[in-house]
Amino acid sequence: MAGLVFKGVTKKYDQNEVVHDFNLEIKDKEFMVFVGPSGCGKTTTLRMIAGLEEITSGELFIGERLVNDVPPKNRDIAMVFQSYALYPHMTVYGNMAFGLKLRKTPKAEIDRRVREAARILDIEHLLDRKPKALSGGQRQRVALGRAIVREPQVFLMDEPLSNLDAKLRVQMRAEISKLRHRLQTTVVYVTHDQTEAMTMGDRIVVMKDGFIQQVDSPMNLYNHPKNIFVAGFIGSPSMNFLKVNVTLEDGIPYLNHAEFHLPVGEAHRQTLAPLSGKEVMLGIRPEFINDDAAFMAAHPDWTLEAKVEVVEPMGAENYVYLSVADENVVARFEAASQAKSLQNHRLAFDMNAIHYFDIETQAALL
Amino acid sequence: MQRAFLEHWDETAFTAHTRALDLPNLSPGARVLVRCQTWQPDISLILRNFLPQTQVFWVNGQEIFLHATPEDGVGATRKNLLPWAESLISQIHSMLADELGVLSYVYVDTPRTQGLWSGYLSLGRLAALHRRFFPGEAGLALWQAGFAQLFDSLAPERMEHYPQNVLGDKLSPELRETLQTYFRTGLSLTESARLLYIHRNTLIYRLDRITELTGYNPREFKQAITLFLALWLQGT
Ligand SMILES: Nc1ncnc2c1ncn2[C@@H]1O[C@H](COP(=O)(O)OP(=O)(O)OP(=O)(O)O)[C@@H](O)[C@H]1O
Ligand SMILES: [Mg+2]
Repeated sequence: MAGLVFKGVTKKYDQNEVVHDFNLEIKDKEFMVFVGPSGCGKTTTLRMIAGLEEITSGELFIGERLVNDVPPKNRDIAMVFQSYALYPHMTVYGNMAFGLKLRKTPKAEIDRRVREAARILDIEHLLDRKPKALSGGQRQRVALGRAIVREPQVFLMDEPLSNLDAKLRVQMRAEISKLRHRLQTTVVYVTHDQTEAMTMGDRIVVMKDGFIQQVDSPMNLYNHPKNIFVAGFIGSPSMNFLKVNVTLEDGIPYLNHAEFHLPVGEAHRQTLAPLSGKEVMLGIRPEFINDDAAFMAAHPDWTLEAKVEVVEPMGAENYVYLSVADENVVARFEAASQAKSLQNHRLAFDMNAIHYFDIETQAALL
Repeated sequence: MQRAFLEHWDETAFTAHTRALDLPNLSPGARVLVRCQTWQPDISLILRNFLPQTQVFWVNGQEIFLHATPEDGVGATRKNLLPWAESLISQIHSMLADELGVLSYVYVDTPRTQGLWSGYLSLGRLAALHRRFFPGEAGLALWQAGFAQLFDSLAPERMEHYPQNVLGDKLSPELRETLQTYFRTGLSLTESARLLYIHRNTLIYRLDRITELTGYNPREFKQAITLFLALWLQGT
């Protein structure tokens, strides 16, 4: 068992630096998710952990050991990818045993590990089958089995679910979470899907353009995003952003926009008051825009009017696309909402749930 | 089935062996070039176990050239061969990475001409395109790179200019991801909505937003091409 430590790790391809000054501690047995848009350096970082790519500068530790110059085979890691290549002529048993044979593991030990992995994955009854006779989900499990028999200190998973259909994906997501509890191993899991990140990770590293934006628990990322990028990336539908001017009236800071004039929520007043006369970025999640009559009656000064563009029924709730002046805002209203396309609609911002960001630096103000 | 295993060839040996092979008797399949960053003898062992049907298996230095044929079950029509051949890229790439810790890049083509040597050369050109335009990918299939060949002769400044004009930074990360997904699925609304976990209407709404912001409608084929190339060039 082992954690991982990155100290100022960078990666350059020729002159092009794609991972910059990466500093991170992953704890022993932690499930750490790397998430971020395409090209942000997730795979590159994972490859550096695996030893497939050289580290350009900085230090990487697995457990206590500096591994910069340790060849991949000796790093005690296993990788799981989205495509699960199996050897077609070998049985499930043979597929799981093959890697260990290459590593010259004694036969009895191979047998013990393969049976143990099969038990963990619930595929004991499939050990004699050839891959052709397996379903997609079963194959995926055999592929996981191949990594498990290695009994690695760290599992590296690069978008292992991205090719699966929606149903299998949800199933495998649960499978991997279950597995990780049984195995009690450190996992580094790469995805560009924030839902996957939020549901699976103990902590999440949000990356962009080769920089770490924030490392935090899913709840903290959602509640306390450090900048506009993280705020917009985490949560679905995304957080809404509106530029507003701050004014001070009777000591209370207000937010001004072409369509509204709203008092800053109590908890945020101290922070916003000194910004009077300045422009800031307001962020509000769709779930904190409300059109419930009781809520609006309780907070009449939090209300404003917007034009409904599209109403999208999601079952228990509706996603409602609105325009506020010329800007687009998405709200999640209860299914009972009266919002109708192309009509004006009264709604309220929950002013205690607003995020504020500096327009220049994009950093959170609270 | 006819098979040929060849190690450490040069062009002369390659051509001599090609002549000796009865090429028309090769089963339908894919030409595959695997380029490894480091070498271990087990690489051959793994590939031969993974593709036991392989008829031509030629190893030279850190690269392997092979004519792979699918397991029965994959129909031998060209239409079925393409997705099968394409899937070899990530499968071989991940297999060598995981089993041996070897980083490899994989290039595939389904043969239209019979010549193995010209097939080998064409995969080599594909590798060069990969390095220039798709370095983050595990490899490349010829039919995915057709449009990139056109840009290979273009000066780098020109390639920056175009996406700047079309896209600038008008699209939020969310809209960018939406567009990428929409293109990846071959302009399928249903499939894109599924991959993005959003409702079809949301997708349409977002595509309309993209049209408003850029002036190009991704749902119209020719305008989609403009957006696609801009997005792709911006990413390279
Ligand atoms: N071998 C390479 N040579 C040159 N550049 C590379 C190479 N591999 C990756 N890159 C570049 O490094 C950057 C990071 O790529 P990486 O594959 O790590 O991104 P990613 O976050 O995994 O993206 P995705 O979500 O698309 O998988 C990209 O700009 C990519 O083009
Ligand atoms: Mg990647």
